[in-house]
Amino acid sequence: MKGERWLLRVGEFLVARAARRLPAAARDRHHQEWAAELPVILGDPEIKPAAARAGRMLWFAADTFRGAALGPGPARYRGAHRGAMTKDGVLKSARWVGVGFGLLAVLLVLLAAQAFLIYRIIFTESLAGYVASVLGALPYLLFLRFRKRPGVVTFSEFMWLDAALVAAATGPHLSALAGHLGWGHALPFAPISYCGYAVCAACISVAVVIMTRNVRRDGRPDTQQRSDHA
Amino acid sequence: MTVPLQRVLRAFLEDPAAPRYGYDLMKAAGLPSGTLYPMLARLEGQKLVTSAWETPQGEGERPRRYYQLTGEGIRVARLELAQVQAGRGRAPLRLGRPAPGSL
Repeated sequence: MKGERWLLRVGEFLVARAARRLPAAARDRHHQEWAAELPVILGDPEIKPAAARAGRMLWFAADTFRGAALGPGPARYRGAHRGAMTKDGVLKSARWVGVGFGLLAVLLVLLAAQAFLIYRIIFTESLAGYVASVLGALPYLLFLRFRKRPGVVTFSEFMWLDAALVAAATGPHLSALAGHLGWGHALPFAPISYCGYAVCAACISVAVVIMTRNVRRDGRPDTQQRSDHA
Repeated sequence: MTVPLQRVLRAFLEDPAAPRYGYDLMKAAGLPSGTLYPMLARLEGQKLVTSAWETPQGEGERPRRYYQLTGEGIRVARLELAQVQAGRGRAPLRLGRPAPGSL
């Protein structure tokens, strides 16, 4: 079959990934077992045509990957690299749920701002309105400038975080202004309207990554010591 | 007893003495691999199924692992399936979490 070796490699990659989710004692055994089934499925004479065999083999590998992550019944199998859920783990999870809700709320506020601007573009086209909306972001920028920064952090980390937040705050306003100046169709569902959303989403993503790094760094013993000294 | 487990046990009981490979059982029971292999691991952990590596037939061929019901497995499987068929599935086959080191 044409491309058989390539297909087998994909399948072997998937079963290898599946085996990595298992405890070390069972990993090699299951990896060998699953990998040995792949060429058998690919050569199964009962399945025709060859494309169906290839699909079956990939489905086997993909579903093995799924099965390695799930335990019996509704209980979820926890990988070998993870320990049992502790009290600290529960608290950490709850904290991240809170962070997730917070970010969702921020995103909703930004989207609402975008929707409001689009509404204004349609019904009240005026340059003064756009300038006012950009100025509306000023208090937020001032907050970023003068807020207190806890702990000992490097300049580069906060610079990126600030840049992301500033862009997230001003993205919708700038996109609306661009629409007003004729850099795109200032209409809902037109490409220019999506610029603000894209900028917001990208910036929030960057902000999440940086926050995650900061929280992880704060969790390390050496960082806590530094914070204590500070 | 769950329907997938019934299917697997029925597939085994078609010929209890015959060793069955994972892919054979998948086809016979009509189950995806992600359901079958954890189930086989649990049955093996409960000593209802035994497994062994086959001897490679050709050079460079990877050995496959085959499964077979144990004597106790045959007895329990027949009993459970009979109870299900009789509509009295009140003594479910208890399958706990896999033992450490198994799937």
